[in-house]
Formats: sequence, structure tokens, C-alpha cells
Amino acid sequence: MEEKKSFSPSSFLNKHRADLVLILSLILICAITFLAVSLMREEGEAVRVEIDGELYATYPLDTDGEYRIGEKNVLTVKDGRAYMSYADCPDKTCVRTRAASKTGDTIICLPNRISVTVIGGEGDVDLES
Amino acid sequence: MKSNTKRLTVLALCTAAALILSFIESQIPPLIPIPGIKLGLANLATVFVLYRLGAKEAFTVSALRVILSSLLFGSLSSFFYAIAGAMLSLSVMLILKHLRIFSKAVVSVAGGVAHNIAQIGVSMLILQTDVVIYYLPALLLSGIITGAVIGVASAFLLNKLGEELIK
Repeated sequence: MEEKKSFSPSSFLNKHRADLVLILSLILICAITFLAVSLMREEGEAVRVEIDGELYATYPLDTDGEYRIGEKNVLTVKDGRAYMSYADCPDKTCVRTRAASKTGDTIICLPNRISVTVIGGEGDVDLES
Repeated sequence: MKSNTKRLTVLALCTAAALILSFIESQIPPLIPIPGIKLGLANLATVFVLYRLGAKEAFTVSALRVILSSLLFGSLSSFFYAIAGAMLSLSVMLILKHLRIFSKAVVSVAGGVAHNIAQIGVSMLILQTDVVIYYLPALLLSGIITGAVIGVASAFLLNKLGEELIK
């Protein structure tokens, strides 16, 4: 049978042991992935722009500039950070995405199938940072 | 569930409710500009059907809701994200429910997390990139939070409503 719900704190511990174990392990897994991902990240050196999963261009992050991507988006690089400054799509999710500067930071424009990813000097993610 | 007509009506009603919840959610602008983070209101209907009517019914309602909402206010890629999320989330919830040691809210939390893991998987396939893995922590956390919100709401709903639906 289903356990009857009770929201009083004393009976909560006894009745919801399995619940607590599951919730705490999920939170723990979440914390571990946060830690792992933050260890994997470092300041990137370039952005890799892909359209439809195919490499479109790579732009350095240490030089400021504005780049047209296809006919629908404009990517701006300023002070080592890249952001989408224009998109023709209605949702503008990529324009609102925060500026990307660390390896793995990604700006994705789903309607135009564009992904902008920050990469490191050696090409990809470095675990030893 | 006694009569077939009643069963059909109740399932249609739940599908319609799920669809309306999907629509309401599609009208809410995203609070956090990370793709994939959303409340998952329609999961309210899924959890309800899962506990009130059963697994087969929950899969039917969930699949219909995803197909219809993608046709009405989504796109092809949003369909793949939604169907993968809905099916994985429902499978996980079904397994945990059958273990009979977890409460509804926690089953829904696991469903929320599973939904978001499926989203990451699909975006890896569609975008052909593994960098979306960087979204994993944020999506796990949001799955826990939204799953808890929907789960607690579902538990209240199940306590207050629906006994008469299956009589």
C-alpha cells in the first residue's frame, strides 16, 4: 500500500527514509557534477561555431570583433567573452544567453541550428586544471 | 475501472488537461536562459494518471500529449526532446512507484531528473556535440526542484481528487 502522507517533522523521518535517501543521493550526484564540471572549465582561447553540427568557423577570443554567422545571427567577441548580439529567430534565447568565456560555455540557437562553443588552446577540455 | 466508456472519457479528459498544461507552460517565458529548464506542468497530469489509472494509461496520455502539443505549438526538434524526456521520466517513475517505498513527491523528483537527463542525451544526438554535458549540473538541479514542486502538487491533487474517477 501507499504510505499515507504526513507533513509533521517527527513522523517524517521514519516514514520517508527511502525518500530521504533517494533525494539526498540525487542532491549529492548533482553537487558532484557541479564540482566536476567546474574543475573541467578554464578560460577559453577561441570559439568554435557550428551550423547543423558542421564546423562553420573558429574565432579567437583575445581579439574583439563582430562576426556574421550565416545570414541570421551576429556573434560579438569583446574582452575575451563571446555573445550572440543578433538573431532573427523569435525566441532570442541565444541573445539572452550569458556571454561565453570558459571552455565548454555554449550558446545555442536551436531555430537556426547554430552552436557556439568556447574551446581551449589545446583544442578541447583539459582535466588537469 | 468498470465501464469502457468511462475509462475512455477519463483518459480523454486527462489528455486534454495535460495538453492545456503544456499550452500554459509554452506561454510562460523561460526564467533562466538555459535550454531545457522548465517547470513541466504537464507532468502533473502524468503523475495523476500514473497513480489513479495505471502505467499503460499514463504512457498513452503522456505520448498523446507530447504528439499533440508538438503538432500544435512545437517543432520537430521539440518533439524529439519532449518524447524522450516524457518516456524516460515515466519509465523511471513507474519503476520507483512499483518499489512501493517512495512517496509520490519523490517519485516525481526522480521523474524530473530523468526527464532532464533525456534532454541532454537528445541534444547530444541532435547537435552532435558533447559540450551540452556542461548543462548537466544545472539540469539535474532544476529537475530536482521542478520535480519536487510538481510532485507535491500531484500528491495534493491525488489526495483531493479522483477517487470517484475509478469507481
